[in-house]
Amino acid sequence: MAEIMEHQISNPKQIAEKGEEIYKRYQTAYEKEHAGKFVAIDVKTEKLYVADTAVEALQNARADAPLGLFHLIKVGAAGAFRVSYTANDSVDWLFR
Amino acid sequence: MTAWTGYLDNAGSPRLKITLRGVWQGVEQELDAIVDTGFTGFLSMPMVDAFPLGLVLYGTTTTILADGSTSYKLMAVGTACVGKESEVGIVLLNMGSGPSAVLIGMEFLRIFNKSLFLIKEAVILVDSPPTVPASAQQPQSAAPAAVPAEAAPTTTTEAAAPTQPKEEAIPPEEQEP
Repeated sequence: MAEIMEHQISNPKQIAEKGEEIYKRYQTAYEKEHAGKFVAIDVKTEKLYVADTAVEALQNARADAPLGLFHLIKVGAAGAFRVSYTANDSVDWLFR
Repeated sequence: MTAWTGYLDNAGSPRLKITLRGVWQGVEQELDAIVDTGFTGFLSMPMVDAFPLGLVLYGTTTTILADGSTSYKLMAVGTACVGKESEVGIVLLNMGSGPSAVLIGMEFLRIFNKSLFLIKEAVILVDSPPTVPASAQQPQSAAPAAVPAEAAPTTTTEAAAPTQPKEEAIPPEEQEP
C-alpha cells in the first residue's frame, strides 16, 4: 500500500492491478448482489463505491475521497467498457 | 424536441461536433468525434489532446478490445456539450495505443438521451422516446418490429416521428406546432 501511495498516478499499471486485486476479495459476493453495476475502488483506502452508472460510482467515490485514486470495474464483466478496435500493440506504453 | 445534425465522413463514419471541457473555466475545445456504436463508454480520446483541457484524472479502468483481450486505460471526467446541452461523463485516455480519433459511444447517447439515425449522408440524433412500448419489443406477427427501410427517408424532417409510440404520446403542450 505504501508503495502505491509513493507512486501515485505515475504508475497507472500498479493502480489498475491493485484495484483488481482488491476487487477479487469481493468478487463473488458482488456478482451475486450487484451484477451489471459499476464499482469504483479506492486503491488507497481499499473502499468500494457501487452505483448503477460508471460516472455515478466515480462521483460518489470522489465526493467521499477527494484525493482518492480509483480503479473502475463493471461487476460480472472483464472490463468496464467495450471498444470496437484492437491493435497489434494493445497495451498502452504506460502499462507495460 | 432537440435534434443534432452530424455528417458521414469520407470513410463513412458518422461524426458529430462536440465541445469538451474540464475544470478550467473558459478552456474548452471543439472536437470532431466519431459516433462509435461498438464503444460502450462515453468518450475516448488521445491523452495528448486531453492535457490542455484540464480534465480531472480519476484513475484507471479496464477495457475489452474487439478481439476479447483486455487493456488498461487511464480515465478522466469531463463535460461534453452539444448545442445548449451538456453532460458529465467518463473520458478514456489513449496513450500510444488505440485510435487517434475522438470517439463517442453508447454511454454518450444514453446520458444525453439521444437516438441515432443514419439516413443517406445525414447523421441525426434526436431525443429518445420516454419508453419503448412492449409492442415494439416483441413483434406480434411475422413482420419485423424495426422501422422498415423504405420508411427511413420520411424521417429526415421529422426525425423523432417513427419512434414515438402513439399510446404514450407527448402531452399536447409539449408537442411542436
